Amino acid sequence: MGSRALGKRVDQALIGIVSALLLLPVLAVAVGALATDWYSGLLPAGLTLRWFTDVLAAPEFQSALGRSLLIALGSVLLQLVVSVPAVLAAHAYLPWLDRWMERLVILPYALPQVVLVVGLLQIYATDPLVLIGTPWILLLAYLPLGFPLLYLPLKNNLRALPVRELLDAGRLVGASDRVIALRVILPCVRSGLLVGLSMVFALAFAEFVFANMLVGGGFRTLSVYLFGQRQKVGQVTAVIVVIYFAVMWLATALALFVLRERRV
Amino acid sequence: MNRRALVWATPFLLIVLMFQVLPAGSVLLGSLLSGGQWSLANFGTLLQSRFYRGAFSTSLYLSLVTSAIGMAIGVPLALALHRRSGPVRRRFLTLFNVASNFVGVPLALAFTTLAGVNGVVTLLLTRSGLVRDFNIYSLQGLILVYAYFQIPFAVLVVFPGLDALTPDLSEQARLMGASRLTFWRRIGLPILAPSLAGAFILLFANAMGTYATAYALIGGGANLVTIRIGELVAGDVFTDPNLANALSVLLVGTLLVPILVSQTLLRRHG
Repeated sequence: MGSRALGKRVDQALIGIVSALLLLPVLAVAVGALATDWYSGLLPAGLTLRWFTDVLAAPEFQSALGRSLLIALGSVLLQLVVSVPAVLAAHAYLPWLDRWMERLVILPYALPQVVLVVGLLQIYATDPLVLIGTPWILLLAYLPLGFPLLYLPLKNNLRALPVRELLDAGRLVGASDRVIALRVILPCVRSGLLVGLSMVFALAFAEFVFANMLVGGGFRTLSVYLFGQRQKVGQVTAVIVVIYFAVMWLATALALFVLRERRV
Repeated sequence: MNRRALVWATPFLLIVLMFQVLPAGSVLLGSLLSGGQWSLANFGTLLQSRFYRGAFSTSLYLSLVTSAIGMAIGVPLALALHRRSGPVRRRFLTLFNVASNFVGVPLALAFTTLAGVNGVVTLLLTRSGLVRDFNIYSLQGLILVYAYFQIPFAVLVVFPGLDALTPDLSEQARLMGASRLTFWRRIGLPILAPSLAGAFILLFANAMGTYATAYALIGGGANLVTIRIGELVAGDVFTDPNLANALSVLLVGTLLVPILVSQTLLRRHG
């Protein structure tokens, strides 16, 4: 019995220490964002909200934030309209495509983003289809990138659902496929869908490699703006990182919160 | 019916084709072209260059070391979490999920704040005399920052596989008189081995492919494969798309081979 209690203590210590270490950089940035001046010592001399008001008031920051939110929401919408129907169709009727999607999940690890940048620059920088330098390339190229994040939780929920039977039954009573999908199937898999879409949102909101190398100044997103500010006063970048983190955390927390409300 | 299903899937297939398959194909084709002719000259140039070989060895070193760190801390952490109850488990998994996604420019800047020249950790370490000088803008710095996202990532990829170790399995082993060590050596590790190997390979690929974090922290000064590729297509000094293509093919090769092997292994183990 004693060794088991000790084991539990060790488990708790391990989880606690690693979590604290993971929170440390976030904490340091949060303190930095509020510091009047930290370069003189370990702790800031005083605290102020000045940096927050400065950053929030900057028109460049506001438009960068707006652009990132736009791309993130656009990505969520595109996944809903393009990927979700494909996953449903594959799950119910196209087993070959389903197997193929399962393999697609590993692709982001085998094909690093920098490699895709090399290819995309060769194809979409010249006629007949010029997308480089426009936000469209981000929306479209983020779709396969975010797909695994949506597919895994969605597929998890779909497995427990007789999708094919639901579609057949719906057709018997004269409902269209779209109505059955929207009214019956999607509500049943909303938890997986919500988790997946919130991760898609976070990815598109924070993405830097494509945003910087494929578009850059043409449509400066928050990550590109932040990168441009990295040589500025430490507090300014700290404030932007805090806001960045807050938006990502809110997206995740919101999805989890909605799930908990619904489940009870 | 299948035709209607295919219509539903068509836009998705088209986008994947245009923005994943075509670029990959273009990279592969371009790597085999030199001066408008089919040749392996690009690969020859890379393999003969000490600079590019150095980039590969640095990337491999960084990825292997941080994957090992990630697994060494992440696996015990995942096991500890697996033994806890539902709510605790869920809360910490959310934290690890957020942490493993905290990468790129914000992560690099956070670490500059924390451990840069005037960072709290740097000051603590140097003033206490523990470390003479710590430089975050170095390979050691990269290892530290990569470890930050590799550890939570390891927890996330290892965790699902732990369900194979059911509580009654260790219970039975103990009833039959097996010690903890024997249990792990004879039952635990053999059961987990394929999924742990798969996790290690994912961590390795995750580190090898990382660009933004290293670029935001050190810029072109880091001699990593991904940094060199980025420089060859978008650098200010010189660009050579076909060399970038060949470098990309070599990078994808080092990722694809272990990934395919582990996928086959995992499938065989069911």
